[in-house]
Amino acid sequence: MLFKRLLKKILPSAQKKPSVGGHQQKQRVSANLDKVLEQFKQCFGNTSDLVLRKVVTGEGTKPALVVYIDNMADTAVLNEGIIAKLQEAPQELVQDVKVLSQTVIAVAKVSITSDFNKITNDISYGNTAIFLAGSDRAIIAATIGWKTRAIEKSDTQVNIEGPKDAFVENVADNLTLVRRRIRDSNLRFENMTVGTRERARVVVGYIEGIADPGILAEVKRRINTIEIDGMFSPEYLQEYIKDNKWTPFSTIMKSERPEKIVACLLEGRIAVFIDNFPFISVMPVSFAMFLQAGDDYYQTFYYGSFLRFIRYFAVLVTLLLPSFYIALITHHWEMMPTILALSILAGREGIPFPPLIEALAMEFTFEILREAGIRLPKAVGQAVSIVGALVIGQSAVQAGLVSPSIVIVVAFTGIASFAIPDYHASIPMRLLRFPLIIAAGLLGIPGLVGGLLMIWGHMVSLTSFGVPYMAPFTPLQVKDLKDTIFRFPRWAMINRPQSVPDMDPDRTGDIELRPGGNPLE
Amino acid sequence: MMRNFLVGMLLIISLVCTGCVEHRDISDLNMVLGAMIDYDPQQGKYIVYVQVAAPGAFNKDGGTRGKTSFLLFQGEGKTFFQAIRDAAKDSGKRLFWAHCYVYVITERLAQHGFFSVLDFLCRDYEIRETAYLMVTDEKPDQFVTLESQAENVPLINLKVLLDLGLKRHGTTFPMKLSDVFRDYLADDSNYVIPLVSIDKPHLKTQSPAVSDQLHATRAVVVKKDKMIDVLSGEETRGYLWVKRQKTHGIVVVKVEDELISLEEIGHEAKIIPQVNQGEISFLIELQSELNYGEIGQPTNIQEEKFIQATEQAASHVLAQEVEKSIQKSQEMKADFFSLGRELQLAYPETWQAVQKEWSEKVFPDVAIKVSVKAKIERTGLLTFNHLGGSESE
Repeated sequence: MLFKRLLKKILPSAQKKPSVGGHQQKQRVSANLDKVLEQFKQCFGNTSDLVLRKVVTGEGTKPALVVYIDNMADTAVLNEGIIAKLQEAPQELVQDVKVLSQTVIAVAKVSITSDFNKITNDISYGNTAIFLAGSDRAIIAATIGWKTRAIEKSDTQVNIEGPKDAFVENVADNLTLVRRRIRDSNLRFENMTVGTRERARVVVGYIEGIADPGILAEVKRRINTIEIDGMFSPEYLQEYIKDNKWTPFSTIMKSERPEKIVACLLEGRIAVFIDNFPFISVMPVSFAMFLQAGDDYYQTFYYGSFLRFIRYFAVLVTLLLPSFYIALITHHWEMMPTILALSILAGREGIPFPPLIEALAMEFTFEILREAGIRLPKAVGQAVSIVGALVIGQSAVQAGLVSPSIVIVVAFTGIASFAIPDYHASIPMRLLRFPLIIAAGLLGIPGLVGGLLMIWGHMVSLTSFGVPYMAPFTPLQVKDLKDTIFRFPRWAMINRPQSVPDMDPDRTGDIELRPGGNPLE
Repeated sequence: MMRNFLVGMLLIISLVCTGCVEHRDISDLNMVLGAMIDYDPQQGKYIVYVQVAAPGAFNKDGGTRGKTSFLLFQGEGKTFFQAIRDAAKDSGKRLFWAHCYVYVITERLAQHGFFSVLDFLCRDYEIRETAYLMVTDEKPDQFVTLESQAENVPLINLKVLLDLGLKRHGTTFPMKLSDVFRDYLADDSNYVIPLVSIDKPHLKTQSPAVSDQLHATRAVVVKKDKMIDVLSGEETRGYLWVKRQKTHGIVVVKVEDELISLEEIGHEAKIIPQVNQGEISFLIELQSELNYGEIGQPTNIQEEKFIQATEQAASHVLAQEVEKSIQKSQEMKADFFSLGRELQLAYPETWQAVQKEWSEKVFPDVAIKVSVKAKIERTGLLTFNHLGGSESE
């Protein structure tokens, strides 16, 4: 009861607060430019980066107002496409905004609106609004042109072969990276906005005719229920929309690699792009997907299958090796081969700490080292490796503070956790090994098996947008096993995964080609 | 949900609090790796010697302790268990028996009867029933202190000697505790246990490379739990030809006045009991596959005649060896070939009638025929008798 009351205090109440800024009164554009200026003052305050540029057009007869945000709009387009053209425009073309937009404004995408709220919104994305004296409508020209990072190599999901490009922060670039790979006109990108203040552009990507409409609708519904001021991370999105909100396992996958997202889209999954974040989320996913890496498919399937074996083994090692070791040396001495038992015994001679404490301390030390290695500035990186490897690895053993066998176990566990291709698959394994070590230290192998049963039971109970997380192992889908522990040759996998509901199970089926396909063909 | 969580927590806490979870550590153990059990009939007490791994001996740096690679503890008691616990008085750490694979009993204990030892070894949960039991005719003070050059803890060596001996020369064999217990409980309880001893080097030299060695050949015959006699190496092999399928011994035969060594590469033995109008007899069929190991003179071994002569000679030698062994068993009035068990399986009624006096009265006079079929299967790497001589050209 105490715990429940505590939870209630910590967690936000379900009661809905009146939303801020969502339902503002609809403002219309005024025909008077001074009034328009007034409106902007009211709306943006005296922010310094809003530019209100007065221009006189129509051979000095008609005043106009150009509004944009500094640096968000492309200055070259503004100069040559809008301001220069307006100043040169003859009288007869500046009477009506529609005529003006069709004849004078030399920008690719323009629209006309009388909704002032829409105008402020578009300006904050980097577009430019053009007001003409005496007109109660304004032109919005697409001038988005802020500085973006170039497309670079992926740092976090490294492959030996395969494409080198990785997603960037700019969502438009990311959409292009996917569109370039799927030229099917059935590829859809649907815009949504999340975050009352950030107003992040969230794009739901899927392939019409493959993705299951039910899951698609559910994804959109869940995204729409999010109420937050800013959406800075796909993890926010994930925490809001995943099925089981308390699980340490990721039921939504993130990837930096476009080809991985493309492969997922082709399997009938749905991708969610978030503005300003170079990791794209995919749903629904299964645990087996986290152990697939691009290299499995870029090399022969024999080697691909071998890599899979290694990774499944690495998962087991990460989760179980320290606790298994503890169970053996504290409870089940008879289970080890005699000579191994003797050498462990020899190594543990005179060690001051019991094995359980020793293991927990060493695992904890390793995690600290790892975190320090990620966080510290590159210039002092060597210090950590020297202190970590020499002081902890060697000196501690030589001084007789820890046994050599536990150093080997911890090191091997650490290396194994790096062999898991998706960072998010190794995180729960790394976290859960601590309770397992304690269980094994207290109860030996029965404790270890009990803990493992709980973890396994939890994993099979998970779903990702209704799709079982442990599929195709539980529930067993024999056909899908072709891409799990083994990687079958591509021609053997002509069906889309059964575990993901989709509209078109056959990968080889013809699709209706719309006219105007590839112009080169 | 909340209540389940609390109940679960309480259960876990109660497990920890009861003290069921004894804190133990592998370094608090003394691993027993070999044990020798002696019995003093005058004083009526059991004496146990255990060889324990010295912790430093398995350390790559040489360890922190002295030079000995093993420690020796000794215990005495009126019973075997008491003696074991007596040994724990000397040991600073708990004696841990699960890694002990070698149990050696002395001749005088074997003669006195070792049932209580066997019972303890099979009853105690820490002791592996796959451990080997053997008898030695040596004195304990020499036997347990003998250092081995092969192993840090010398008695471990015996396990290897028995395993390898069966495959290499066939005059010894591994006998597990569970096998001994099974044979002890059989209706007509006669069986053999391997005998181990110390071999003095033949070379008279001061070299440290040459020293006394543990030695495994021969076997003792046991009736119930008492040793009655010793089998020589050859008699042991005669017994193993029939009872074990994996004997790869060397058979030496004389063909055309020259000695030839044949290596057995596979064989099959069958004991066929026959009852003819109340008359019990046995037929032992042995099929042996052999390989030419070494030939004494230049001969074309592809000749049918030579091969047939070899096969005949080999059959004869093998049959003789087995017959000798059987003869010995009949003389001892101990049916360690377990012919009685075969009879029991094939003719249960007949067995019922003779069961009580089988070893004493019936078995010594039973007719036993041995028929051996030896077959040459391979000739080694050479198919001719010479290396690239003129005959093949």
